[in-house]
Amino acid sequence: MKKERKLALSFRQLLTIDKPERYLGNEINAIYKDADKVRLRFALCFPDVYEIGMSHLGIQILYDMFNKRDDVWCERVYSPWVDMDELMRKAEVPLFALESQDEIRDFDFLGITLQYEMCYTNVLQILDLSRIPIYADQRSEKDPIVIGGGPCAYNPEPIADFFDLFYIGEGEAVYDELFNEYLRVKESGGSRRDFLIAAANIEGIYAPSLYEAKYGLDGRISSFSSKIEGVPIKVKKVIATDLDKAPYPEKPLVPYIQVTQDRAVLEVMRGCIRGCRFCQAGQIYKPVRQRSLDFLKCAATNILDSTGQDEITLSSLSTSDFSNTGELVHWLIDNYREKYVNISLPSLRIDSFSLDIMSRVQDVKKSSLTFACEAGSQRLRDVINKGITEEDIMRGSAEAFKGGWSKVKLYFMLGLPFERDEDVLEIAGLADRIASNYYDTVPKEERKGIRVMINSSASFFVPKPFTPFQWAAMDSAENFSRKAHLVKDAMKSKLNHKSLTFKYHESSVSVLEGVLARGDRRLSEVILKAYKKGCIYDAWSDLFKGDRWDEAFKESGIDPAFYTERERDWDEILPWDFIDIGVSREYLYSEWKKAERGEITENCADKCSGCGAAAFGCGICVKERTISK
Amino acid sequence: MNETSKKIRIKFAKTGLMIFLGHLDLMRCFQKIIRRAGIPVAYSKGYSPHQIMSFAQPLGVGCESEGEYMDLEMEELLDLEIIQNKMQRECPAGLEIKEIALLSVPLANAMAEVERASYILDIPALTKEEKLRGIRNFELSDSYPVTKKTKKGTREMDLKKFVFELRLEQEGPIFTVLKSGSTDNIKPELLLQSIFKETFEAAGDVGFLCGVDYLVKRLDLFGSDGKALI
Repeated sequence: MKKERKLALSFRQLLTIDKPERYLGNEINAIYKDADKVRLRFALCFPDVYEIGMSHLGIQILYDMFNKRDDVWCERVYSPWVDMDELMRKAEVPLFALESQDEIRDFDFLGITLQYEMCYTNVLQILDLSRIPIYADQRSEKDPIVIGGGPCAYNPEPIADFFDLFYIGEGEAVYDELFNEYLRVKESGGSRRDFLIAAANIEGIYAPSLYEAKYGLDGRISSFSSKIEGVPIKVKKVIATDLDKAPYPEKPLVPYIQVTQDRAVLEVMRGCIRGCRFCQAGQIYKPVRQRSLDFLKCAATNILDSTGQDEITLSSLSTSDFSNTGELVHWLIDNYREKYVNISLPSLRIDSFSLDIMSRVQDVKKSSLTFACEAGSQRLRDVINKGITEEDIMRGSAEAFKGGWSKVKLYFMLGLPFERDEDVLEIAGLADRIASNYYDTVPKEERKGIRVMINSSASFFVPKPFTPFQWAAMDSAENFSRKAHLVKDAMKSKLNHKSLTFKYHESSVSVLEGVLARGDRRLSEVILKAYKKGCIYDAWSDLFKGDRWDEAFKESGIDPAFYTERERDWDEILPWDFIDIGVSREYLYSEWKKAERGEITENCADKCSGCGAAAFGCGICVKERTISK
Repeated sequence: MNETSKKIRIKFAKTGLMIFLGHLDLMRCFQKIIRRAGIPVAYSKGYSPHQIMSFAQPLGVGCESEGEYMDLEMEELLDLEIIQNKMQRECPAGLEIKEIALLSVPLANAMAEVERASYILDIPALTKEEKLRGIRNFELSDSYPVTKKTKKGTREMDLKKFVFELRLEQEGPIFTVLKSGSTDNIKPELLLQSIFKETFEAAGDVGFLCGVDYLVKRLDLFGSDGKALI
């Protein structure tokens, strides 16, 4: 693209706002096509600020994949930052896609990825600034089809009224089919509704307007069904069964401004073998599928060549569980160290194997190690099926201290189901024992005056759909604060208190997250009210306006505690029950009951526990293992 | 020219949408251009090695330039034309590699050598006569005291001493040569704000925007006595 592109904003407008590069669409590897020569235009949106959205691998995958089709032009759009939001409203500039700078409302599709619940008001901002009617049932034939995907699409109900479609599963699976169906209906003169019905018959696609939820007097869902004959009652998740055959972006976009994750990303594996009971990703991305070494080496070479990035990261939910981590890292060191490419390895379990790898790729003295303990006591770690023991932590930290590390981060959650005060106090106990472990492991003459630092932080546990804890009551904000103070006070009384720090996250945002995560269709009214009251960028703690959300709930006559503080039973129809992720409800419930008893479940690599994901017939499920009954 | 030098000086233009890139973003952009181009550039030693590069006199956001300079130390020297072609191929629209020269050693870095900068400036809202009046006023005064904002605060200085050339071009814009570099650097804004004070002040709180209300195009940078940098 050497010729001048048109811009939606004037130079004057661009020069008066912060970081105009967010809105130019001229990044390296951006794709431009002739709008008149494509049949379908797709606006791909990450509803948060540019720097966050540009760091997301999923967007890069879909952008590349859609644009591989000659008849499709996929462009990007991110949430305008608050200064730009104000400018666009004042100057009456409608929201535009970055590459063509054309208005979003003229596109065929607006696809919005839903990575966290706190982006819902940003979704409304996108629709509002695009001048697309907020409620799907008010959209005309001319408006884009608004489709949502990503983890929050696994309970799409709180935002169901704002979307025409949801895509349940991985983008690689059925987007081609969906586009073909769209073109068929559009080019044969069919209506928007004709397309929605056709789409609903594609596996993985949910058209909320074709379904209806009814509620009983107690407020619980009494029925959920499709309104039209022939539309499937259950929506089944779709996945890419063979990751080596799935497209992977070899020319990812390279921004000019510093973004959150400014590096090349190699997705080595999808899914996680560990069945942590609090974790939604662990369930919805099942089964575990790996990419081959050959595929990854080839992708790494192409990505580094085409971007000029000086850092590459291995991405997955648990990179230690990827079979070829060692070999891949050594290959990267052998081939890219002399080209000054850094290798970053997040989400490694701390053991001698990973410590050895880490010591080869990073500066031990400067870096800190992270243990995701999640709970302080062994009892509670068994309840959540964390799969690590105190012995593992002690052995790992001793190895790390011997290897030269002296800074350790510990992640915990507070408010877990079946949590007692003695479990909470054990957070301080564990941190203190790790600090003592340093003094026991590293002789005085080798400490060089360095004080070991054990920095603990706790977040407020939010029960999520499609986890064994989907039936659990969420803790109250008051109890969370009380527990956080218990930990803080306990730390002060410890032997190594000077080496211990403790931080915890704001609880009010988590409570709202809890409502939206397990909410139903009645919440759309609250979300719209909150947005109209000025709520936006709720995921940004400095912009979060809890009082306006409180007002929105009150005015809608909805009690947030109904969604958070109430334990559900087996018989209750959960808002997301119509979605089939492969993992069965029975399995999740048995895990819920095992949690109550503090019983652990073996991970997928050791033993199949028959969760149901084997129905996809791929990945670790088709490997030979002992199958338990 | 010294045979052992592996330091090259790159002259480039920054126009179009690239005017929105701040200095740090431009640096990061070039680091990636160099990596994509596969140029064997030298890296610093230590635990976080970085490309050995330095830029002369950063340009403000909103300004265009036909004469920016960057010094680069090479690990291995390639034919300069090959380097230019390889780099140009990786440049986004708005960056143009204009010339590359081998530097002789010993030498100062690009930054330290700079003494002067030439510019084309314009204020589209002003008529030719208004611009001419401002320039005349400046020319006719014996001294032209201005207040320069510095990192530490403000400083009084005589602008006359630091403006080497100032004239109205045939077509209307202003050509000027200003003192540049690490000491007594005069930004073109300061000159315009001083000689067209009323125009800037009239804009009030809205401000007078570089790139819109007044246009700055750097033409070139020079060493002492106007010596070319390349």
